[in-house]
Amino acid sequence: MAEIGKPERRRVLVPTEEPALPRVTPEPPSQPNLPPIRQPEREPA
Amino acid sequence: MNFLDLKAGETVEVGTQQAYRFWRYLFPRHHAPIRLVSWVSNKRWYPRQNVEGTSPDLGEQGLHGYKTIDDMMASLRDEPERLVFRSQISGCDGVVLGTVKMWGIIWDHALGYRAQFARPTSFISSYGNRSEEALTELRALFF
Repeated sequence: MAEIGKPERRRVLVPTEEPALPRVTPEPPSQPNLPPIRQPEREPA
Repeated sequence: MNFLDLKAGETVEVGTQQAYRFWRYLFPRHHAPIRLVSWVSNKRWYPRQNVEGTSPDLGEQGLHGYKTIDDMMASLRDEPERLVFRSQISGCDGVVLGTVKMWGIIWDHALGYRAQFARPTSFISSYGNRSEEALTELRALFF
């Protein structure tokens, strides 16, 4: 391509066809190895 | 686009930038579809596909385009036919003028742009071997 003159400024354009934000799959929160929760025993009726 | 290319505090605009540019075209042998090739490199532009150029943050790289058709014609001295010979010594059949939409990182210049991404949006005119056929075929393939 021929001469287009001196550079003037930098811009960033995002087309409307693309998602406006990057698609990020959230990682599941890390959980400590806790013992299973025991259900309280029911009192006899 | 890669959002890591954004710099702190930089404004992000939504949309695309129209620009004018020209390419070489080539009729391959054996009746294969016409090919569209960049003017300064052998980068091929495929139908209905976005093109990613080299980073516009580096030197004069990126996909080039003019701001207006007058800027483009002035750079061609209003004689786009002059490009035909140069296209043909590189093995192509001629030159086609058109428009693109650009996005991603864009460097504005006095007369044009250098962009990270582009895609053809129209073909205006063509010059060279079978130029009318080239224009018809390119429009049918790309849009």
